[in-house]
Amino acid sequence: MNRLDLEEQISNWYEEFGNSIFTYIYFNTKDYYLAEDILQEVFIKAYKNYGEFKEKSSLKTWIFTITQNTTVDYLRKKNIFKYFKELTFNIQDTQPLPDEVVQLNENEMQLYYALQKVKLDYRQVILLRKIKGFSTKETASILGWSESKVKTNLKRGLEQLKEQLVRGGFNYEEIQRYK
Amino acid sequence: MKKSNDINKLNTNLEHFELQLKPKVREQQKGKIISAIKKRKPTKKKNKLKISLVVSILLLIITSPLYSSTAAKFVEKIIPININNDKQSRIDINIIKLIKQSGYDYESVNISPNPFTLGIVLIPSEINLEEKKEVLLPKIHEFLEKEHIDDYKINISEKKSMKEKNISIKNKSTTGKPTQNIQWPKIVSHIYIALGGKKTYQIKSISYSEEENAVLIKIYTKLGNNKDSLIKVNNMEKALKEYFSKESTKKMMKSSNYKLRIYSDEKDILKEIKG
Repeated sequence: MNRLDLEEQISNWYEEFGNSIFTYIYFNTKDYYLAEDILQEVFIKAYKNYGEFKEKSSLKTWIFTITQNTTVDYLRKKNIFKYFKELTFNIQDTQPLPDEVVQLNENEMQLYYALQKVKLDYRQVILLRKIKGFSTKETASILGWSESKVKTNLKRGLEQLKEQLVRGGFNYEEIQRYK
Repeated sequence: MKKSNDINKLNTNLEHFELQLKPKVREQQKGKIISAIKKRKPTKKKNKLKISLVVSILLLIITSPLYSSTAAKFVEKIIPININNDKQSRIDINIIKLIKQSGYDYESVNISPNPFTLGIVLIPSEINLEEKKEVLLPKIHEFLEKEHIDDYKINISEKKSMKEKNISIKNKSTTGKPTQNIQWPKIVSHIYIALGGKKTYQIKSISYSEEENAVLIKIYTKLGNNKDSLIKVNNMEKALKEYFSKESTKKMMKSSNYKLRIYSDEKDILKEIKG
């Protein structure tokens, strides 16, 4: 692949999936700079292994599988699972993405905070199924779970998210009207 | 009813909730990714250049009008054989080291013939098998290249469930195989590990049969009955004699004798070695 092809390929992938992949990693790590490092790693791996992509799944599912594995692997290697677990139970306050990176309105901010407080397994499945738009089957493939586990965790996750939103005084009607 | 309504509304909200990075940030991220990938390129190019250089030199030698059996000897000399029973030099031991260094646990590592196949069974962990392969394969390829092994297959899999494992153990125990003297299989495996997987020597298989106070080891190859093959066979003979003269090999053989036969693709005996 020559230089122009390479830039075009990466550019296309980034335009299509970059935003979505980055926000997924960020929701899992809650560290902007770490999320950027992992994002780079994901693209390098995808670029390097593109020849092995057998089109058994969509390109998006394939890249998200790499994203999920790289994120878990990265955190495991850095031995910060403990940190990861603590974040899951939300011991400390969650930090929003810097203003210069993303601009959130008040309702989005509330949803953002509530989602950060949901248990990691639930958060991942909510992100993939509801926000990233993957099917149950695709989500199961990305997370390496059974489809029934995806369904159960999604149900419980939405309940937990709802509780968090109610606790924060979030009004569904309002947010829906706002949208 | 209200509960399910709330969840439905929540679903709708979530479907529209995708954080959008600012265009400037997106451009920066894209730039960083492209530059990170480009940084990896020079190493590949360098390797490619190195490989092309070696290929060019070999082509030059082979196509040169001065190419002769002396030149052929030179080519053969660059593909050495070292049959070793030293643990450090064993391929499987070194592969295990690579697996451990990569932070993975393994169930078994073995080498099987026809074709030369490296079988690795890993213990499942939270890291996906594909990810593990991605880490291990380049390291294994690099190691095998250093060992001059260039004709091989690699199978990396994960340990099966206990239930399946029990079944296979049960099957094994019912085969009723007689207990073997472990000396000869070890020696044969050392020879196979040293010769197998190398395009130059084209080993098909190695078998052995025990006779009274001796063993006959048959080395089947795809070699023809020609001058080039003879050079290769002589190389093998030299390495085999060296191996059998080692004290550690003699210890394994106790006071037994050996007979080695190297066969051509047509099953003609290219060489017989006795010791």
